[in-house]
Amino acid sequence: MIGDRFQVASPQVEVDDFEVARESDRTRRVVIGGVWTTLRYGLLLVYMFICIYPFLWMFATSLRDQRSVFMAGTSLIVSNPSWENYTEIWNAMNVPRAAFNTALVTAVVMALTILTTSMTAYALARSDFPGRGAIMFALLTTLLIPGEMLIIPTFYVNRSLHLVGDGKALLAVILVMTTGAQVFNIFLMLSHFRTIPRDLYDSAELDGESYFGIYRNVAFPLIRPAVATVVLLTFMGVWNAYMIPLVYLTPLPDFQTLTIALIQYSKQFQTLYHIMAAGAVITLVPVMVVFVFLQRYFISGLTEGSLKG
Amino acid sequence: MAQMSTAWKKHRAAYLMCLPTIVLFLVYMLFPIGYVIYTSMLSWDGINSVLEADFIWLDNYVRLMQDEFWWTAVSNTLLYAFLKLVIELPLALILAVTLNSGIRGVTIFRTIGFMPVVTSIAVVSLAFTFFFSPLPGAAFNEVLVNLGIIDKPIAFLGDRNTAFWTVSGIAVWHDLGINMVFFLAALQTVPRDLYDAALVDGASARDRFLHIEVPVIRPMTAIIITLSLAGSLKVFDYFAVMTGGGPGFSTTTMVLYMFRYTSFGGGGLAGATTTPQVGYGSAVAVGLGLIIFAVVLLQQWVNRWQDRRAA
Repeated sequence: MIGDRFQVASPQVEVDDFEVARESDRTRRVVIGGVWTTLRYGLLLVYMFICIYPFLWMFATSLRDQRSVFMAGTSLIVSNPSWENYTEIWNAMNVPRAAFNTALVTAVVMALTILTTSMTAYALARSDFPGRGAIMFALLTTLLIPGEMLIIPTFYVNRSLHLVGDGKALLAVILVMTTGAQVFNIFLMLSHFRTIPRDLYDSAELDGESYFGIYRNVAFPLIRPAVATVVLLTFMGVWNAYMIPLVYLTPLPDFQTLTIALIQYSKQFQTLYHIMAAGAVITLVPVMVVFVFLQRYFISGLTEGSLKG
Repeated sequence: MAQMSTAWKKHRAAYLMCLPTIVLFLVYMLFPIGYVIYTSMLSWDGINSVLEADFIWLDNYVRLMQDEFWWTAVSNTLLYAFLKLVIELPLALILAVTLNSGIRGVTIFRTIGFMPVVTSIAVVSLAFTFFFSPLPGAAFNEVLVNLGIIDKPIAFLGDRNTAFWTVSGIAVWHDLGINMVFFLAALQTVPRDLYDAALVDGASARDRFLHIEVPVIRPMTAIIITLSLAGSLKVFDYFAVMTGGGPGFSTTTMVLYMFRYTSFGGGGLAGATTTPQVGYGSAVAVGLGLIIFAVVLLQQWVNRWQDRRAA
């Protein structure tokens, strides 16, 4: 498809009179160039519409009442919008509590992931200690082990540690997710720590800094861009997580995250789509707002994290 | 022993700093890998003590190989991964090339095009359940009926013939933006002077694409394919929320098939067992791990083979 369209842009000229040919060629180029530009913008506008329409439709649905929701169709116009669905879902999902749980899990996973992966990456980048090779080997091999494969055994590990069935299940979710985030982020941070010149460590050492002190005061501040990437990726990954919270938090109404609380509500009230839409808006908006403000970092972080990490 | 203690003295700080990762790894990665292989050879419901469960050697694996629904799940998963490769990646490339062709407003296009990626799959799936439902007022059916493509609304997520394709389509919608951005990042590594040289030589846009952009983005394309494959083969959220694997087993994926034999998430998937069969579920986990491993390895091998041929 691309090939076809590009071909149009380079017309073959087979006219006797060279001047005329050049003239008409230029006109054709301008016309075709215009059509081509329109096509490109058209394609992007269509894609943008497809991306954004479902969210607008969902928002419109969340403002409708039980009767008008079934007459809406494709329309985004709400004749008499009301925020009633939001009050309804606010109480049914216990949004303050669910939001607190989600924020708690997200923040703790984020902090633990940054701390543990940066310390390990620093040690691996700086020192050649016995066992370093074994750690690198373990990291590389487990890169290929899908977390889904370990859902069952980790559940029973947590049960043995008494982290299942009550509020401590939040800790289980945190630990499992932090482990899942290790390999990827260690490699990401490793690639950043490796760019720090050895001389910097040596001179810091001469200044009397300890091994850990150099990590805290010299190396860690230098890899701030990588830390920002990890923060955004973890925020997105944990806030949106479904499978692991589903396993541990489904039977615990007081400790559910927003996503699990909403899915549980949907299973109970299968056709109250306008109320679910309100819940979906509440769950999605925080991530979307953070994304819009930090989109540059989100995109460069994801690109760097996945392609270079 | 003496060696070990000197190593410890010399590198104590490094060891201590690796310790949290090592502990997490031992408890939640290495031990579970061994444990899941062990429980995959048990007849165990996950409720009674694992020590009292019968050791049945490879019976679970024999049962797995003989269960036609497992192979349905495998083929569904592979088809899903294939669709994501052949539909999503070319679309993403087209959009990225377009975005990279001197368009104004790249940031806004990129931001909105990336929006679905950052949203929760489970929550978006829930919203789409209504969007694609046959209920009056649902958008998708209304469009098709108004355009005269269909006579009466179709239960896109409830019909054996459409459910799998609908969910796959929604997954493409959700994930397209990330691959678009990956390709865009790859395209932006093309050196400026190559474009300038092409301009001097009078190369057409098509030549530019085939002879400048394609060779430069090739290595990254291989990574994009690996990431897409590895992600697709683990797919769970879309299908779990929108269809639960049904109707029948028509949308059951490998991970969903595994979940059916546990009580995780309160069961509720297509054909879920009333009593968990965690031993069998463990065999499924090992099986799906091996399949993912094999597919990713195969892709790497094809990739290396192509590199050698290109060189």
